[in-house]
Amino acid sequence: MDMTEIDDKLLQQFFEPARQQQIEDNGFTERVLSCLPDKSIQLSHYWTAFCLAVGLILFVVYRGWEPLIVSLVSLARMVSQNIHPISFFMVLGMLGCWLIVDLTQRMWRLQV
Amino acid sequence: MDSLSDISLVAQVAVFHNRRAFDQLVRKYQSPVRRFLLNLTLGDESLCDDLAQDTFLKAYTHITQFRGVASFQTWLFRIAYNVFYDYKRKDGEKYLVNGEGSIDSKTELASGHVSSSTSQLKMDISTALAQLKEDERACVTLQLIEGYSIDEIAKILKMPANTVKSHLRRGKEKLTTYLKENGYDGNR
Repeated sequence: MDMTEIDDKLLQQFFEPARQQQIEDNGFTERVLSCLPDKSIQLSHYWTAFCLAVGLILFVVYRGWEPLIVSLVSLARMVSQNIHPISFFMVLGMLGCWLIVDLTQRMWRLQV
Repeated sequence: MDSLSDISLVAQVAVFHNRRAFDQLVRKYQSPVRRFLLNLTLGDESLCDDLAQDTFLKAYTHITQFRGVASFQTWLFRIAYNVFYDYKRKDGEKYLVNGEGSIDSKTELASGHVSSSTSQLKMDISTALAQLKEDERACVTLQLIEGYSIDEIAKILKMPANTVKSHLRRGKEKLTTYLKENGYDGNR
């Protein structure tokens, strides 16, 4: 008798039920579809990255930092000449208070 | 006709990102893909479902790479095997502990304390497949359960056809010996 033939017959019989086995969906397809990446979000990410890259290139090509520095320096001069020190310190004090309150609230939330 | 409808559905997914078309593809192929992974993971249903989900997600994101040379199911099986292989490489130790190492094959088949049921059958097949090395198991599963030819198996597993033949021969020898040792005569 041919050994291989006997082996194959035995194996075919053993695996026959596995060949017939059908796995029920049971919500599997819904789970897969709910995990699919959203193309519109992907496209918006690509668009943002593209605009950012173009902006950076233009900034470097046209030496965007030069007018930026000039503007900042002139703004600083204007502020130092025109603003009264009392009102300046009042605004600074209010901002400081707001910062302290905000930090306290955050720390309190973390403890809770 | 079947492959034509598959190609039409794939085209709708690739061009229009049509989710309904992909839904139809998943419903059609979830059973063979999950069955293949279930046998590779030796009956671990939750792992098999996770891997099957990854398989379909990869198929969706790489759908434009499907050229239609092989059938869509063959392409899916190739992805499924890659997903399984990646998982095994990353979580190799865990896989060995939870998968192959956990099955006491001799006692499972020899003891007849569980009545003849689907779960017993699954256990029998899983314990029998646990006797094989991974490559042998993949080859045997693809041929004896999924009905693929040697050339198709070679494409799915990216192995030379002669290597597939060797794995099949060794796998079948081991299985036959195992079944005979455990008293399986084909009439159960």
